[in-house]
Amino acid sequence: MATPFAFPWYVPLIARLKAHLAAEPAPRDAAHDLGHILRTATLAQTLALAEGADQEVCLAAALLHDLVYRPKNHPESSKTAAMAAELVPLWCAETPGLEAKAEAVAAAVASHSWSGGGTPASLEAAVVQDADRLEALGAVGVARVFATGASFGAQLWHPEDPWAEDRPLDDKAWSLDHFERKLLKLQADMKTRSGRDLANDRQRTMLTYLAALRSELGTES
Amino acid sequence: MTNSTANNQGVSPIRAPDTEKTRSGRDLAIDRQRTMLTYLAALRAELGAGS
Repeated sequence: MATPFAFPWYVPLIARLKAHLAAEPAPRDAAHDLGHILRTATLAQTLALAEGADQEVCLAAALLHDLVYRPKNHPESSKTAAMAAELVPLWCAETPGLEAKAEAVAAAVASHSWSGGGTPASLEAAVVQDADRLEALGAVGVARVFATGASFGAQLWHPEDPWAEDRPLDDKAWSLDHFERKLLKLQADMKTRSGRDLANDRQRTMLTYLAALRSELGTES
Repeated sequence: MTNSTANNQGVSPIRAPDTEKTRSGRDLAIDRQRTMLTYLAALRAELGAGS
């Protein structure tokens, strides 16, 4: 079993990635920062080990999956996976040790996104998609959904109908709606066995959180 | 979540049940503290696996 992050290209790639993020014109929202990238990379490595996938491809693709970022209410938001995948071959070519993995890494980056609608065509792509989706679930997912909503001015929830009982879902206006519109559906669409197992745990965490929130809002509103 | 946001859970909200002035306030605060501690335990487990 390989030691996590023991690949010789890891340290230089992280250094370049940090410089790339620092050079962006505006800071990313708290849900799509370096922390998210590193957690996704760790999850990808965990899943890769469990699934017998190519660890280098999975790890590199997870590190580069958000190379291009647009706020979630930006018109190009659904295209960022494809835009990142276009940059990957150059990044791999300029990272000694990753040159031969460029095609597989780019393919995994291209298909990872929910909003981009990509379908993974390899085990490695499935691992990266699952790792990124796990980041949207559980206690981490709860924190990230409200951070993302706040970044584009969404409110926490509708003040009079938080559970959308008499209105259509609108997760651009109300962050809580995002659970029903997307997050609670992810568990059923995980592509790997180990990803599904972790998603089950995280789904339970989200449902526990939502039950507590429902109870509190029932008391107060 | 930023580090500072996560760390805030250990500064004020966690101590809330000790500071509520009414019995009913304390009862509700205890429920909410349990919710927070459950959440933080799950977050700790996920960050242990994912960071």
